[in-house]
Amino acid sequence: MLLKVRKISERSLDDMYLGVVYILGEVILYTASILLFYFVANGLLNGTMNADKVFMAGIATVLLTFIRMMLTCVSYKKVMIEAYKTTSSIRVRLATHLKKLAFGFFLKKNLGNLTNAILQDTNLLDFLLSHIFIRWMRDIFAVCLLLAVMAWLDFYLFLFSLGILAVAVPFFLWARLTTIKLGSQRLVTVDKTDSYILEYIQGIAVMKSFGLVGEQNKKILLQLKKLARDSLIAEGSILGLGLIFTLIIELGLPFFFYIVMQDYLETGQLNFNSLIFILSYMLMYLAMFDVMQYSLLGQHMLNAVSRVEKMLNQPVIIEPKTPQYPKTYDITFSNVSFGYGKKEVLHNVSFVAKEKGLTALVGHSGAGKSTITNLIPLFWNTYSGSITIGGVDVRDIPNKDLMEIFSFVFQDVYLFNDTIYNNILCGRKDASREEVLKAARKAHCHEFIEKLENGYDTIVSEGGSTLSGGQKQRLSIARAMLKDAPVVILDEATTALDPINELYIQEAISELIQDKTVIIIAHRLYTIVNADNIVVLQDGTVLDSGLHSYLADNCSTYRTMLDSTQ
Amino acid sequence: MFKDNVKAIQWLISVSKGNRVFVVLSILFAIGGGCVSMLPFMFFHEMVQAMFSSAVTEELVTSVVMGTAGAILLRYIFVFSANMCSHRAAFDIQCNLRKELFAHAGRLPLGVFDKNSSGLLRKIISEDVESLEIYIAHHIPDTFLSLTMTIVIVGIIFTQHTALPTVLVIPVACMLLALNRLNQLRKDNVKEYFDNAEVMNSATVEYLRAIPIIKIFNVTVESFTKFHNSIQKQISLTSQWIKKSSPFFVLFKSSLDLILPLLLFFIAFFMYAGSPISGATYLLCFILGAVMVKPINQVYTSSNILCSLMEGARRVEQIMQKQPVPEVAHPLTHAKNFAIQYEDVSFGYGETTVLHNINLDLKENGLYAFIGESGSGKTTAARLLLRFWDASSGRICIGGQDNREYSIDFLLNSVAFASQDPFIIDGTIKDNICMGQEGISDEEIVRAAKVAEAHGFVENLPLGYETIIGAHGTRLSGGEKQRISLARALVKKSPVLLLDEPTSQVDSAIERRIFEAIKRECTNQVVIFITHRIATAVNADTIFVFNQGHIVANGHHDVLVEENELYRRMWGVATRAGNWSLGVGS
Repeated sequence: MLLKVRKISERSLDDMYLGVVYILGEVILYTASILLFYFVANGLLNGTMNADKVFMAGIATVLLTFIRMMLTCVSYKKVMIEAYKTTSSIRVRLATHLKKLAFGFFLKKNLGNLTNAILQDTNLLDFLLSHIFIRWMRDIFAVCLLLAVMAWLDFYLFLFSLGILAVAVPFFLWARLTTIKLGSQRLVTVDKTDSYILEYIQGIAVMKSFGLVGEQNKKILLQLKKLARDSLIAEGSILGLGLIFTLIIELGLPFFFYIVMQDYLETGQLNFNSLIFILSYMLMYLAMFDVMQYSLLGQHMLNAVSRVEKMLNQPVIIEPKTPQYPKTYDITFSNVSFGYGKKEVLHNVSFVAKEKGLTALVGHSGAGKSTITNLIPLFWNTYSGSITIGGVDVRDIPNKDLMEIFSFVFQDVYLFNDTIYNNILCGRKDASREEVLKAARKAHCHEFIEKLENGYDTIVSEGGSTLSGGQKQRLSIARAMLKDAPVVILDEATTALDPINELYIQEAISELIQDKTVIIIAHRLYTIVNADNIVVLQDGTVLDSGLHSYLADNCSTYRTMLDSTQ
Repeated sequence: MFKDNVKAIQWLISVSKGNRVFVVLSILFAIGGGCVSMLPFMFFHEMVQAMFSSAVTEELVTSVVMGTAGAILLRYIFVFSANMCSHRAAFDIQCNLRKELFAHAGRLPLGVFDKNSSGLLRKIISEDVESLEIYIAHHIPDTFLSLTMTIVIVGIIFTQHTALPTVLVIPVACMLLALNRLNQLRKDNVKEYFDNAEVMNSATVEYLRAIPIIKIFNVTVESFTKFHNSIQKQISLTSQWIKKSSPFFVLFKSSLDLILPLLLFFIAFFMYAGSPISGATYLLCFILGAVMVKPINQVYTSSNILCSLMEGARRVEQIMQKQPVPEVAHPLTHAKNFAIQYEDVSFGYGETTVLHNINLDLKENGLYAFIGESGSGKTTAARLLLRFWDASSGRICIGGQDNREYSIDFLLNSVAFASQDPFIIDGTIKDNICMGQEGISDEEIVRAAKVAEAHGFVENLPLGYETIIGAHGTRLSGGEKQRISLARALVKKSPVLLLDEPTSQVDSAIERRIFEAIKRECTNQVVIFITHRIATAVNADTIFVFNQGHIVANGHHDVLVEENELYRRMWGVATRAGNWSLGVGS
């Protein structure tokens, strides 16, 4: 396991190993003090021990205890500091790696979930590596050494205790399997309950108006009861199995009592070794129960580690060996097929978007329009067929330069926590203030920005909630204008805005696309009647393409779409 | 800390209600388990003593072996029962608490549920309530078991030799000292640590969110530096903390190990004094010292966890203390008619007034449109009708009676409601339209769906109205979801229909068709249709034009176009926007 951690953190973990060695030393001294104790006990029982000897033993044990404390202290320090350093390095590695992934990764994944997963996993590793790991190691060593002592004391009884463990351990494994199985079943119930809770709260107005509040909502009540019942069954069976495991081990005690006393009755000889064997057995199982508990936690750690590993194994975008740069900007798709995972969503798509022309993609939702626009800037790089810009394959263009070719105006506007000015400026970092203001004016942003209290220095808060939807869109258009990239990829908004906002956006877009190669996802056909090429998509294939007049005459699907919006 | 514990326990008792018996049983079982837990060691002691005094007989063998086995079994039964009772109590308490929270949420004014507070409420009902389980189910029995065990151990040592418990004094004192120091250190450092942890977490979130922008715009953002710095700080903070605290931590963990050498000194002392202690006692004390570590640690951990439990409890209480919508003593449960009047209604969230002296007169069977820019107050005005909030001045009448005179249930029952955020439950399309109402025929469903322009796409789905939608079903587009939500409101056939941009994500041509169908079909309802698209509403009986919280004009489209400047401008813009088409280089 440490090897895996070592791999994903790229740290040597020497301090971790050193800490383990220290704790091993501690356990050896611990065993030594127990042996010393046995020695004294033996003497006491035989009457061969005098007060001076006991006193000396006491002093020796005090010394041992202090050395042990020091060793533990040094070990904990080493391990804990190394643990935090390790998880920090994992955090940095994850962050750096994510930056190199194909952009599409972020489109597919729910960014919120992804973030949560990363935070949770790294925090879990933090805790487990720093707090649990070393105790787990200590208890494992302790169990091993105690078993060795037991074997040395009385090999015959030692074999018996191994037998007892052999009977008990399957129950532990069973308990673990049950934990995993029922745990994941319960998780499903918990998830479902959570989604009901969310549903209830989000739809509370509807729930209220249909009389589905509180006691009246049978669906939720049943789910809550089911959760309580399932949880009880799951916890009960896990607890039961776990207790059977420890019970079997503890029942070893009366068994050993019996053997020892029978032995005594038969031989009339007191076997001191077997007495302290029993003591060691008790100490062993106390440590053993801890080992078991820690290994359940250890399982969580392994899971977290493998999730992080999986994330780090996500393929990054490979930069081309012989980079090429397009001179012209007509875009050609030839026989492009693509799927997210196994399911193919684009089938042999071919079309041409002429330089400085307007190409529109139309089709019902799910027809593959967005997928196509996401492939051009290589947000996904796992397609077959070829996509070229000015005759150059997009995969031969270095990613940085590829991004310079495009301006995007998406429905989802990405704004980051910074001033409005900087949010526009990120279109082109070296732009002057005049240029930024000019872009803002052209995109009809200037008026509303001036009205804000801090003008261009207003900080856009998380997700841009200080601005309305229309304003955010205009900002993103301003950004695109500043960038002045040769190709503009547009996703026409579907949500209705008030007419004034809508008009502003339309004017801004008309301004933006002057003399540009434009690819637009159109929802309203009348906006694209003048397009140079209209590509009609259905279920991931190109049905037909051409001018409006041609399609209106020859493509029935296009005609139906036309009819339904008029 | 002690005070917090008492508070937490009081709170737990107050929420446990019908499950108190299980909580009490669990505690009793745990105490029982604690009492018998040391018996095996006592039998061990008896055995050793017997062996040394040559008093081992067959009977003794039987009684020791059976006694030990019996004690162990009994303890397991106690522990299992204690845990089952506590789990039963925990899950029932969770279930009841959630039920209560649901019911309470249902009585709150709808205005409470904006995006933020919905998230918070969800967190409380699912996560905070969930976190109670750990404490109730695990820590209650464990704490009492551990406490009893500790007491029993000290008692046994005491009965072995009256002076013997003194060997515990130094280790326990060391432990408490270390604990005290640890808590002090934690108090001094924890804030900085958690503050930074929070900074680190939010920097991570921000950084991940910024990745798309970083990629698209080839920029480096400041958040990456922030992220790095917080991680560096985290390392230095934790290193400092570990360096400072680990000696005390180790002392706390291993101070009980000192029992062993002290025991030896104790024995030596009494040997010098000439009254030696028996070897059997010595062995017993040794094992008890080893057993003792765990329960003492457990008591400490549990009380810590109990304190953190109060965090969640406080949040639950916060919700429970929110005031429900006030109702009059004898609310009306039916109305003479459903004509609606707003009389000089003003309203504000906090300081800022968002509605100024709104006057509306909506007749029965009328079709009304509210139009205006985003933020002009149309939605707020409509929501006041349902008492999302109450007006700060003026009044809203339904059938001549103030809407605050009616029962909330009646209000909500009389008004069907669809908003621009479509609400879809996990279930079939049919479930979504009927929402559990009995006696709605398929015909009625289809009819409503047709008006909402949903019938077409539903029919095209392989399973039609039986298609499962929602988080775990077929994905519908925003516009499709809106139309399902709208059909739901239509099928209810309530006297008032409140439609707040119900089709904002639907094509404007389709929206117009929906509007016309509503005009045709919903003739005996009061319909309020809020829309951005001015062209949709031209056939409304009366159009109310909202601007910055005022109604600036009302009347029929033809009249407004003639007489109202603002309306005319909006109309002009809308017609231009509607005919917009793209052209490159032209």
